[in-house]
Amino acid sequence: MAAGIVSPTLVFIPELELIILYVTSFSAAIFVLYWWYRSYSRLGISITAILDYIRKNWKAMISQALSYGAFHKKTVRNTYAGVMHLLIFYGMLILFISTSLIALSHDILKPLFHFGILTGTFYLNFEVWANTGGLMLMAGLCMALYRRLAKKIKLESVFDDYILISGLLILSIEGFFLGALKIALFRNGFDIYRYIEWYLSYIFPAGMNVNTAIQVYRELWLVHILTAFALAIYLPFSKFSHIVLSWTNVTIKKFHPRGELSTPFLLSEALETGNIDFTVGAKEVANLSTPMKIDSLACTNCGRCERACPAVLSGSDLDPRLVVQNVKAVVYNGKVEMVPGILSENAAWACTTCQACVEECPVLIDPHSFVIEARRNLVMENKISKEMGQYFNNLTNTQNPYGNSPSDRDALLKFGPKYDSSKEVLYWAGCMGAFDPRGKKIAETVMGLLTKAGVNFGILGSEEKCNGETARRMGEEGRFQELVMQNIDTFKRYNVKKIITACPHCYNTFKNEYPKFGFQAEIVHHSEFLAKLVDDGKLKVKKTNETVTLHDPCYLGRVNGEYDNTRFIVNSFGNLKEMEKSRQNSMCCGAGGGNYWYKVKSQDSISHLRMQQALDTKATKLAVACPFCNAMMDDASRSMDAQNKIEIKDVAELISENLEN
Amino acid sequence: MIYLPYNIIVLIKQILDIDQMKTNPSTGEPITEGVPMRIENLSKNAIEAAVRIKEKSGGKVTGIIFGGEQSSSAMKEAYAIGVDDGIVIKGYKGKNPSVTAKVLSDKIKTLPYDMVILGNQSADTYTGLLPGKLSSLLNVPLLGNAVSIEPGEKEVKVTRVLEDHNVILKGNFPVIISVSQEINEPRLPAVLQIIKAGKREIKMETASIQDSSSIKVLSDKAPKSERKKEVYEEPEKAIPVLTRVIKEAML
Repeated sequence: MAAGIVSPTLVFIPELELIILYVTSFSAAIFVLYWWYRSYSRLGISITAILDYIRKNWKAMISQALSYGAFHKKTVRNTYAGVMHLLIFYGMLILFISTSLIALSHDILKPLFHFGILTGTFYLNFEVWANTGGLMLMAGLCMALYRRLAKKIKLESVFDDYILISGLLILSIEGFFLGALKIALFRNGFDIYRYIEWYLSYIFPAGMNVNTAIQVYRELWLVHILTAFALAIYLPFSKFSHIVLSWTNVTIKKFHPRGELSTPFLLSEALETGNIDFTVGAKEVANLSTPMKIDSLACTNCGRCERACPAVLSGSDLDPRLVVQNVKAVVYNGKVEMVPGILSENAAWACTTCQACVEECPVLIDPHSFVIEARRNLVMENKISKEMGQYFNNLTNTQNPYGNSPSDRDALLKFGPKYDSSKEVLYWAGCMGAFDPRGKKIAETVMGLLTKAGVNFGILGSEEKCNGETARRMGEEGRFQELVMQNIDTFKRYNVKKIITACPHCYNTFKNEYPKFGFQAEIVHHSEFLAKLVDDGKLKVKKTNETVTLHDPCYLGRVNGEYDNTRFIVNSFGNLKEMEKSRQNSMCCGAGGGNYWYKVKSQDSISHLRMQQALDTKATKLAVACPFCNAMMDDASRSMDAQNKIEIKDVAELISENLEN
Repeated sequence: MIYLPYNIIVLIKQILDIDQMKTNPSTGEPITEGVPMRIENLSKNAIEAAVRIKEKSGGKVTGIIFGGEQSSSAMKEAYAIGVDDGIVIKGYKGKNPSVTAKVLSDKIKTLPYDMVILGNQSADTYTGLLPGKLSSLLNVPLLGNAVSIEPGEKEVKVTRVLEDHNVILKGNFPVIISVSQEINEPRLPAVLQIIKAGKREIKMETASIQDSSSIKVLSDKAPKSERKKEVYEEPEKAIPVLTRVIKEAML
């Protein structure tokens, strides 16, 4: 390539304007950096803590910054919004690098070392990239504008959004026109590499007055620079801040099992030491943990959580987006009460803890944790409904939610032997398995299959107690831990090594929450255990022509990432027809987080919405794997008069029905 | 004389959790062994009523349980709801309301009080005699079966519920108020609150009178009920049967 190819950068710009440019860009950069530091130092995080954190976690930070930030790991899950965001993000990144290269070449290398880097082939590549970056940015912005103005999705659009989109659009149009005008003035053959500006340059008349053109260029350049700085200064005060705050959040996020809630205190320790002067839950925003406050800062108001939330879909008072946004708005003030300042009491109880919001959030916020903290405080202030009080009372008095006599659990011993140390595996029937008529049948079926397959199992009968999952999710940590201590005592006495659970909620709590309290064992849900028995040929299933749809239980699927065993079972005998919302996008049945036990005001019932989705598949059977999903779907099918259209069966029952003798 | 803030005594009874009690299927006698204790439901209403008055108008709530060593757990729960001071009198043998009234009134006489609040009966024996007996022993008026309590500066207004109408009563302090379950929804303390409350001191005393029971239990057997226990799982099959049975019963 010819050596004469150089960039005629900033050729018309007088010194004074350049000085203005340097001063403003330098101060804007300082301002943004300082604001970034202040965003976190105002939460009480010291600079030494930040540096210490980076020193210890830099490897994870780099990998998270790249995967969740640069590569949009979660953002692209929504195709339209993902592509839109990628275009804007990479468009801006390319333009930022281009501008930095110009600054490096023109403002540092040329004056100091008397050479530029924007020459020859590199320069031509540079121009192709710069034009492509601009094109990507504009395409992304047009998609964003279309999405806000014409696309029918639930998305809050405020003035700020339009300022940003139009601001960036204007900026990119200005950029393209500046380039085009420069081409029109010089028109070198190699300028065709600036493929957009080249064609755009023909709108300027060939015989235009050069002086006027230069004047126009200078003024447009000034406007362009001012637009850029206006946007830079606007950054901290707008949704733009997510570039910094969200990226920071995904970079520093500490991962823990999704099914494990935070442990505000250890009851056993408190009882031992007598030190019980700690606060539980968040009465005010100030009581939230620092990571939660950092979470709230990262929220960009994109509304993905809200569009996935079953409580929102059913028209209850809860909106996870608003919860996080409301916290963000007052995060430095902190004096605002969680209830009713951030969310209403009704909203706090409407959460089914299905974690669809957690799954959705592209910047790794956990919106449901805010609800849990609010609930913990409501419980400490005794602001609970009669049904909730009854629920907790029953747990304390009878160690099951029904208030039935604990000895009634022994009725299951008709179907399976009592556990002792000679048994390989403990079958944990759960409260639904012991007391709910439908749950009992499922437990009976599972035990029948285990016996048939020759599994050496036993049950605890009346020594089984509620594991406390729901109490914990309803914010009653104390009752949860009381039950944990009692159950762990039993497990240790029997030296339990492996547990099959009937309920995904028991499964999750034993697997992810009990270890913190000193109990670890191999925990499997019956869907996994039975799928293995079928796979190993210990249970032989015959093929039918049935079309079966499947409802993923939140606490197997989204929370624990187990989607395949239930599908394997369904496909072993029938033809699986997926619902529109399945796997990680599956929708909650409406029972989780305690909602099975109390009523919250809403327009529709979550279970009816989900049932409709199942009916839409035209399948004749609905496979479930959780006794609560089973009860909710069953109830929905009764009230929707759909009992003749679809039969609701646990995966264990489906195996049992289709056994080859 | 202005009585604000009030000195309130609340009388708390601890009973066997009768919801968990079973009867021996062959003899029909109740099995009390291994049945946990709980605060009687109406006592919870009484505690809640007393604590709400204190929260609104200030004052002090003293709880008294005539029970045994095990009653301190009930007092801890009462503390967690909001009772300030607790006295457990040991030596309760049950069954005789006259003895209970005497023991409690002797204790109450030693304490300052404007109101004594208690449940109007208890779910184990249902005698409903205690409020009246206390009133007679203390020579203090009884405003019974209250569904609302509105204490003023000198007198207290109580709404008593009767079968088809309500009666509003006024009484000068001090008064005894027995409450009915409609008066409120007792709060449920969180476990942590009960544990915190458990660190506070409970005065343990012994009853002066030992129960020389003049009341004998002749029989406490569960009435025999011959139930058919037909279970229908399909509503389609159950509904015709149900409607037939109801129709027959109505004839």
